[in-house]
This record gives sequence, structure tokens and C-alpha cells, in this order.
Amino acid sequence: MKHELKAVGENFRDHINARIIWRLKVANVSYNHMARGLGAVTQMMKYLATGGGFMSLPSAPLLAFLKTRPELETPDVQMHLVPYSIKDPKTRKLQDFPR
Amino acid sequence: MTIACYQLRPESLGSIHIKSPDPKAHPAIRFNFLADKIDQDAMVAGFRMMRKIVDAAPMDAYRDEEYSPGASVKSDDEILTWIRNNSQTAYHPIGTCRMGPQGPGTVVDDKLKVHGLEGLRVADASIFPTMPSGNTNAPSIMVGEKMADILKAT
Repeated sequence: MKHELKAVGENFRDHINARIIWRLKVANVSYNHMARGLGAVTQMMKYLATGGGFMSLPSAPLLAFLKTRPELETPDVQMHLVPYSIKDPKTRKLQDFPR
Repeated sequence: MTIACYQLRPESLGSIHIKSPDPKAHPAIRFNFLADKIDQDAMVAGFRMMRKIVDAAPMDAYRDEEYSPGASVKSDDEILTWIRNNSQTAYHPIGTCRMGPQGPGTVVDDKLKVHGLEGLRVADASIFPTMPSGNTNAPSIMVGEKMADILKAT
């Protein structure tokens, strides 16, 4: 031990993400549908040609900063809303079902 | 579709400590998520708000069933337990070299110099005393840029 500073490693904070996943009634809305097979090829080509399509979007096209209680001065939660669902957060593979 | 929700300013404090002098050895990381009741209440409330958004009438044409967790997770206790067992880090770890005036709880001063040492500074998210209300990428870059300005001025 060369120089002791007890505060090193303490005060550790992180954001903890709770995710809810819904199936959708309609096709052609979710990235899960667009990101498989021929749809994936189309989107890649669209991105290379025009810089558009879903490959150009940030991982969350919609964010929300909300108050869980109305008396709060500022929002206390942040949401990311994404039109796709992940099968496994570790591998980040998309869910098999198209919606 | 998915909605992810996190509480912006958690109260719970965890720790990261080395277990050996070998820099390749994994440290002991204790998130201590949801230790504080403020955090528990905010996450349960945020969870319910996600459901409220998708249950709203404009979503009727799109919304099918809730795939995960599903209708069996209903009460506050069930929701909190499910959150504890099924959440992930949002990859915003901060705070373990906290900035502040010299004292038992701080590591670096306002020039990002480690207290009591010459020639060592820390310029990343570990210096944040508290969690910023959002993603930590921009604040981390800001710290790096500020460090560069400080060094250029000396």
C-alpha cells in the first residue's frame, strides 16, 4: 500500500434498466420483422444508398423523462422506447418472433 | 416492442474493489441496486408507468399481449422482485473516485488531482459525486475536455 484513500471504490452508482416487452398485433412496424432475411438486406442497402432506413436510427427513437410523482420538481425516471425486442441482453440478439 | 426504464438519480451506493494486486484479476463489484426505499419506489412506479403508456387507447391497434414479464406480475412486491431478478445495468457506472474537498469521502480535487499525490489525475465518470440525470456519455466527454483545458492552462 503506497497511499491509502478509503473513498476509492466507494460511492458506486449505476442506472438499473427494467425492460417490459410486448408483442404487437401488426406487421411491418417492429425492427424484429425488418431485421430478418430479405428485410435486413433491404434495410442495409437503403442505409448504404441513402443513409436512411432503420439502420440510421439511434437505438431508441423515442425517449421520455417523466415524474413518477406529480409533486417532484424534475423528472426522476428516463425511458427508452424501442420498436424491437431482444432475446438475451448479453448477446443482444433480436427475439425470434417477428413482432 | 420494448420499453426500458431507469430511475435517474439512485440513492443506493455500491462499491468496486480490487481483490488482488494483479491488474488482470477481476475486481469485486457490488452494485447494491435498490437498497434504498426511494429507489425501490421509483423503479416500481416507473414500471407501472410503462404499462400505463402501452395500455393507453392510441396503442390499442398495435398492442398485443405483454410478453415479459406478463400479467402474473401485478403487486408492488411482485414487481419489485421481478425487477431485482430481471434487470440489467444501463452501463452508466459512476462515482468511485469522487470529486470534492479533501476528506474521508473524496478522491480527487477540483483539478481532478488525486488527494495527497503528485502526478496522478482521474478524468472520467468515476469523479462524478452523484449520478447525472441521463446518459453518462456526454458528461464523461465533458470531464475529459475540462481536464484537457486544465492541463493546457498549467
